[in-house]
Amino acid sequence: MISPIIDALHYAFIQRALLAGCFVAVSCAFLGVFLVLRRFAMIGDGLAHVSFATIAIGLVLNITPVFVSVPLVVLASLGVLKLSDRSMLYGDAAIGLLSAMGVATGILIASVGGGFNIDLFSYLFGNILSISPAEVWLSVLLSLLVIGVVKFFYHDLFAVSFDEDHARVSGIRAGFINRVLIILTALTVVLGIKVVGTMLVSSLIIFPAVSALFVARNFKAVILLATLFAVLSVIVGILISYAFNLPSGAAIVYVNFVFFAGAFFFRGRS
Amino acid sequence: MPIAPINIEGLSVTYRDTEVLSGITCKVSAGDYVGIVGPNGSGKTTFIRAILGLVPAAQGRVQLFGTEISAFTSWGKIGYLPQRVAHLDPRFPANVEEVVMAGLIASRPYPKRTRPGDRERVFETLQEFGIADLAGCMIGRLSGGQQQRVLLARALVHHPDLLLLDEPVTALDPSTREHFYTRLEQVNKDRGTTILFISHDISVMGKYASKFLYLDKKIVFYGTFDAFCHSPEMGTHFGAGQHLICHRHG
Repeated sequence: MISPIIDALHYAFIQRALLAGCFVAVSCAFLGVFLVLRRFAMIGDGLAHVSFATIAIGLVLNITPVFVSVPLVVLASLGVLKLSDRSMLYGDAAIGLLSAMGVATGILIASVGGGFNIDLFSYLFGNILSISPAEVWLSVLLSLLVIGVVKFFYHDLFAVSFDEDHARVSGIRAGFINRVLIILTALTVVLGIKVVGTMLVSSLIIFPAVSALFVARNFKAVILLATLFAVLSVIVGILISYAFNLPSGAAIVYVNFVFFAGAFFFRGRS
Repeated sequence: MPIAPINIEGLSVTYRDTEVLSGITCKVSAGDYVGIVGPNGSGKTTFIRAILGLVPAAQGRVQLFGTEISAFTSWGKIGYLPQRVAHLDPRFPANVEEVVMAGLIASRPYPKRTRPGDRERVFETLQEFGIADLAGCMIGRLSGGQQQRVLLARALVHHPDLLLLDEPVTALDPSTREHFYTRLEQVNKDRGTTILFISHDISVMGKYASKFLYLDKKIVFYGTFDAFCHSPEMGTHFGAGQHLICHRHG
């Protein structure tokens, strides 16, 4: 059992999967803590569905999907923020609308365009084992950006998450901080799709944060634990998927679920 | 002449076409301790939130320390305790020290970092409110009174020049409440901190506050307690209530 896994680590595609997966997991965990606390946990889901449409656009136009997805998903994320900010819509309703429109647009384009449905399917459920060296670099750069931004704005993010009104009267530009958070989330979602697919990318954002919230006793510990859960779930998930020939995205989500269940029972007993 | 911490001219606030505050004009001088009272729904909380720019003015202007609220940047001079202690997220994963530290660091320039002496300052403030032993506790696991003291500590930890408190004592037990009033009086007298304080407890307002602002969507009365007690107009407005308030004063 152990030997094939050690052998697997010698394959370049497994090394790339582990490297990119871990870095995307770190981004998701960092952002997930703030998104969950700000009741924006489902934004990852909504943006992933928008990504589905943008990937379809990329495929039909024969452009690398990530180049279409990044600007359009960032725009969509700012649109959701604006809609919920101005009390035009409840935040979850805005995300629901966005999700539906994203999927509907993707299906329409796939139906009209034809010929690339198999490619689109791979984006639905992810295929981290086919990740390219360029995508690995993108994941690493994005993670470093997320870590840097969260570290720089840590006190602002904490204050806005705890009490937005108080943060505003402390001189924190809460609107700006919200936009930064949402743009980073949009970028992370686009890259996270390769890891677990559009259907499951929100799990990378929500599961580690929620599991950490069950057991941590201070804010920094939440971020550190969420990162630990996220990275471990990606590593174990990829190795299990290789060893048992299972889909990697689903395996990563199930490992996340095991951490969540463990954290839930730990909280119950403590 | 020192700049007035608060200067309001013709302030009106509307909420969904209903006027919540109408034609408010008043000035709060440095070192004032203003008690704001009024019936439920009289716009007290909106008044404080409009002063801080948290709700937009439909008409009029608000200046903090001589600067229009839209251009105000010296937020380190402001301490604020919102009314919504009861709405605090009980699952929020922060401990008491982190919450109070946030009050100390928030208004600093970037990059915002803790400095030597910050922890001591936080602990001193917690000690002043008798909650230093709770520093490592999760805020969501505290009682309502303890949470209120934590948020008061957050409002005061950076030694603000202007303190706005929206019903700060509702969750406090009587002895803590008395201690809090005494502490606030010290802050006002020793540091010259200007205080605006919303309360339903008019008798206490009479004992501690130097000025009294009675609000009912517009200003019914704003001035000293002596002026209030000797005002025939207020006698007509409040009837026996005026005597009750003034009798308890002092």
